[in-house]
Amino acid sequence: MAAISTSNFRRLIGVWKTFGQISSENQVLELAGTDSYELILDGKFILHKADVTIGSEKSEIFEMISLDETTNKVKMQYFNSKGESGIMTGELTNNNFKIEGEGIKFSGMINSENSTIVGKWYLQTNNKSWKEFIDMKLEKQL
Amino acid sequence: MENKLSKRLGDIVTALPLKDGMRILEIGCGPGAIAREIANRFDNIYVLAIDRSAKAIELAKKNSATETESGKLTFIQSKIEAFELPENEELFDIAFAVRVGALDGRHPGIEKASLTSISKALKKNGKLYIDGGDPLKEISLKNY
Repeated sequence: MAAISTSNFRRLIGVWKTFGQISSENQVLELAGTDSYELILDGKFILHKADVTIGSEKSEIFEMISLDETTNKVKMQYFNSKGESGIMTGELTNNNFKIEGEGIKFSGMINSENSTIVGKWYLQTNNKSWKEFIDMKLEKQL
Repeated sequence: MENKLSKRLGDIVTALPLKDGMRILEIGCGPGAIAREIANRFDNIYVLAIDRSAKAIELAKKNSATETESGKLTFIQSKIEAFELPENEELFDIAFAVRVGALDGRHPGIEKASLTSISKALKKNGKLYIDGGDPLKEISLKNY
């Protein structure tokens, strides 16, 4: 039985320093914080915690990540400090990291040393096109 | 359906510089009470009202059959930070929002993207108003 602990997602395990930029026409808003990924419940799940500040707004997220063996994708169920929750699907194929939720998606890369993740979040507009939202970089600390 | 608006919301509608012939964009319309009030106060006005909540839009549409059938009012589900002018829509004269976290400082992460979206949907001299003033305040879109 495949386990998330032996899947490509094990490359996320650790503590990361997070940097981001939200750009709009003439202005840039900085995002900064910490993301951590740890195996829990006998290695059956990954617990992702994010603690980030966007401008002056602080946001915390807890996310449970579980592997779907048939598709090799993960279910990512998140809860945040605004009281919001939702489910996204993640895929980590070779070094390509993709996440997709309702009206939002992430596309990025993890390097072969598993020390850096770089990518972008996109929002889906009412016209169904995708609009760039946040540029992200995560650097492994531990 | 009779549109019962609170005094506060009624004062907000009265404070908006609305005129016949204008195109109005309401952000965060909820169940549509303000949008309906505007549509009913003027003979020749158009309101596009958006909200990120599918349930709010569903309720707004259900309660606004007369106004939407007349062509004076349209509801769309959309997050303001990801809003694009729909293909069949022209630019707006005024945009306004009441109790919308994306615009009143509560969510700076999406505020800039929201103001950019609004700026692109307004005519050159179009204006944005939010509550929190007396009873409204204008938000400058100079940098967007």
